[in-house]
Amino acid sequence: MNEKNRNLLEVYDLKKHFPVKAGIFRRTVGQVKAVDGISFSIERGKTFGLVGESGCGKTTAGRTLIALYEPTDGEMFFDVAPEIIARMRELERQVRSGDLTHEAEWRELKARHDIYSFGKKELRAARSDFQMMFQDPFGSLNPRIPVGDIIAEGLDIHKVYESKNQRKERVEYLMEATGLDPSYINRYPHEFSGGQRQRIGIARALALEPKLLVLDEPVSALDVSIQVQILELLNRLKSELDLTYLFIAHDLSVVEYFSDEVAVMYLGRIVEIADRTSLYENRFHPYTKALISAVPVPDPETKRRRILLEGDVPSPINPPPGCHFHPRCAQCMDRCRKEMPPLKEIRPGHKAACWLYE
Amino acid sequence: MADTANKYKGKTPFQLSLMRLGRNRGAMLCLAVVVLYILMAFVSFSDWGGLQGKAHDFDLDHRFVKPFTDPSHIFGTDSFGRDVFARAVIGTRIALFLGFTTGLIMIPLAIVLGALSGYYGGWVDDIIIYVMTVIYSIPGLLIIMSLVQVMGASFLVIAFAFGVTGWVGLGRVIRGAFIQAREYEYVLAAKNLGASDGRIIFRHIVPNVTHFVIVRFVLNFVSVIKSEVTLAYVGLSIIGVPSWGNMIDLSKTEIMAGNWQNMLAPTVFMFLFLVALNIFGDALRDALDPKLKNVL
Amino acid sequence: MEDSILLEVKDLKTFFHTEEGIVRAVNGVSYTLKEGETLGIVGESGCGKSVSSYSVMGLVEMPPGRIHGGEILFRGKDLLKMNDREISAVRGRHMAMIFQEPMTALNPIMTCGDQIREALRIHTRLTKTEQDARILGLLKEVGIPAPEKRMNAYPHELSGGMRQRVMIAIALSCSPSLLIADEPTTALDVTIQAQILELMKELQKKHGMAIILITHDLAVVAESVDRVAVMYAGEIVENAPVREIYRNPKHPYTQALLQSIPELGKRDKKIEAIPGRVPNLMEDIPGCPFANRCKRAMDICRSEKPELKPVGEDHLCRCLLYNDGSDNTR
Repeated sequence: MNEKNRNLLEVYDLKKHFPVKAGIFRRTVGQVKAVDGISFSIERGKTFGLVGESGCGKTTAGRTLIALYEPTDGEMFFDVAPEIIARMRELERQVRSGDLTHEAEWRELKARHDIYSFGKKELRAARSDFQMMFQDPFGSLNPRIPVGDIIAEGLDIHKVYESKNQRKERVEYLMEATGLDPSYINRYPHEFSGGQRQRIGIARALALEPKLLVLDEPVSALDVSIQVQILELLNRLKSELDLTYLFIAHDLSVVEYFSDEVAVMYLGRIVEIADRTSLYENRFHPYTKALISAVPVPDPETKRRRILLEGDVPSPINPPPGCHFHPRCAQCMDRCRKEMPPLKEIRPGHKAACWLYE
Repeated sequence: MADTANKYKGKTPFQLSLMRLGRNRGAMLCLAVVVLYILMAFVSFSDWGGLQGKAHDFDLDHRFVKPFTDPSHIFGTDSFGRDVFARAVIGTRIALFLGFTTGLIMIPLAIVLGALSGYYGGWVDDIIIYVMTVIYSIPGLLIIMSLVQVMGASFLVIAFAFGVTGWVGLGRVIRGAFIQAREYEYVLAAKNLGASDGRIIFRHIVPNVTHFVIVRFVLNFVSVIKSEVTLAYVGLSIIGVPSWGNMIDLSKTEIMAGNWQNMLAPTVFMFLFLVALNIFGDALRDALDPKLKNVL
Repeated sequence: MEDSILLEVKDLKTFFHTEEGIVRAVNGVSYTLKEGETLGIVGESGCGKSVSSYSVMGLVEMPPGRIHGGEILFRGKDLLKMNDREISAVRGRHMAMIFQEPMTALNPIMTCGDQIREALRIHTRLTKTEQDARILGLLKEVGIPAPEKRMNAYPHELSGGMRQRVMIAIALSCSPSLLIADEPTTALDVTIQAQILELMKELQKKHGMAIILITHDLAVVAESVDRVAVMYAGEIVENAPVREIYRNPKHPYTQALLQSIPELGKRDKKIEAIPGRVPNLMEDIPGCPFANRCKRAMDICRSEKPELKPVGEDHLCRCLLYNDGSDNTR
């Protein structure tokens, strides 16, 4: 593997459980398994799409991935050489099987390379490499701070400029790069439209020259005519600044248009991962099939067979046993009710978690 | 690009709030009354028009002058011949002093404890909530009375007592605001940029609670002044200093004989001040409420 | 009956008087709706698509809103000229509305059954047992599983899709001849959206009511309506049968809008953004409000207001490009 198509990010078995507390002593009575063991990797320079319906855990997954929420379990390697990851896997296997000769080396490697094992200070420093752009154009900007300072927040925190002038130049550059008029540098967020606010959000995220940008529903709050403006801007910035994207969205058409590889989430787990063409053309998992068929098409003359799903997404507090999708699945078998299907490669580069393909 | 009308361009949200407030005539009138009271408190240090003499010197020839009969004693005099108007003017000083000092004690307590408990949660939250509940469940007057008994009656002690009992309400509000704000996307964004807890708390969250703090500070005067009167009435105030509470306390023996001068002056002073503060406080709340930010 | 006109809106103007100025939210909207027809009103936020329908329902808050002119003819009678009693007889009996966010449209402290009962009590004279039977029937009709149980459920105990079904049941309780659906599926997931759209189609077939579907989503409209009216900046810019709109869009805004949405499974489609943004409705724009974003804008577009004119059979368009051609096509 050469430097270019090396994975920028690899995440293993990421979990985020929120305790459910009840009673006067606030005892933990259950867990909301918002993200329940997801693994994937993103190649440098690519866009990885994460789709799912509301409540499937995709937003929590994005926030936990970059350690905005403390993960319950999991490992994340950011820009780590594959040899080191392989070595760690090997050592971990040894340690787990009881051979403790290399335990110290394993622990040391983990502390140095696994983002979730970082201390508070190291994590804070590492954060500049992975930034996030948020969904809500109104809630994501502090209304009391002028946009220039919002964009410069990261610069201020990490003290990456030498003079006030340099800071101003950098902010103006960022505003121009994201299509904002730099003369608005001292204006407050309430004076901007939804699309412009999202641009401010992008400029803020880019200030520290990150390698990865997590885009959490970046266009779902915008009007259709503005959505494409923002997506085009993101595409341009990606090639200009050599970025990698994790694109989280509920709109399959937008995800398919914008991403190279797509993962479909259902109730905290990934049920299918494939490159976008293969996902659309093969769609192995029954949930993916239903999801794709439910997307309305802006063409009154294409009549297609729609798979109507019964009922709603079950609660993540008490998910159904076995395959989480089985109560709504038309092809449900006995095994689906008892055992959870693993994510398995069905065709090269196309994985699905379903017993139908055993 | 930005399509707000010209006169709102480049204004901070706080300036916009003040503009909203400025348009409210009633609130401005009440603010004028409040400012008048503040001036009066300063004037009461001087001897303008023989104020000190009128208020403190006994004048046994002019005892119990009825209100509105003698132009040199508009509101009349008390059992020692002291002018009740002059005494009420000096009482303004005590009222403002108490309100202000209490605010200074209460607000930092409420911000720090509310912020700690709301932002960090967990055991920190449990302890602070416990303390709040304890203070809340004992009648405030009981705590104040015991503090005054133990530490002696001085206005500083009374202010301290009001302060340590008064922060709980505001503290709860701030805690709630912090719990909400923890999940704000711009707070997450700051965290993601690597901001320290201190920066997140003071730069991004505290400005969201300032409107609670300012309004509470204003309305705090109302509750403190009322409590002072209650306290004086049960005999827990400093005798000899003309506070509104003291004057009303004195009037309770005189009123039987038909002398209501000592009742009249502080009641009128207090009534005007409290009405003005209440109306202004409500208007301030409306103007500063961040939920109304885009309503111009 | 089939082809008779149910609702005719003529030159409707609804303005909002705010401190900053007059917002011309609906600025001369006209359309007709036949009995049993489905009309989709499409546009971006702030284009006036909701306000125009709220005006029909009498739901515009006044002040700040005020209707400055026009007619709303329901079966030939002008709603704007009726007194309150006549209006509520029409609006309550023959029109119903469902909203985007069913959670806020339902009363949180009343069971779903009781909310339907409330509607029945106003519109019908049924005994308690008859009401119960009707409620169960309605809940079954809108596809709520175990309706006996759900009747006693509170709105928060139901999912978003179920709540929208309850809203539809309430709307159906008076068997309206016109149902206005304001972004009924925007807050829902795609799989649930498909269920609700399917349900609305079914119910329309069964009851023969006319539907006005207000949405920003061109794809939703393509699948569920007979006619489409595209709105921009308070005006209808194009009005045609649904196939015509997608096969042969005339107005540059409609064309650009169709060009700006990604389509699932069509990766070769060239997606193009519409530059700029919607105009401020407080300003009085001399020419065409879309002119500054329009690829085909001419000089005249900035000074002259286009009219909504026929550009083909049953196809209206508000654009100066077709000013000369319009006479030839007819």
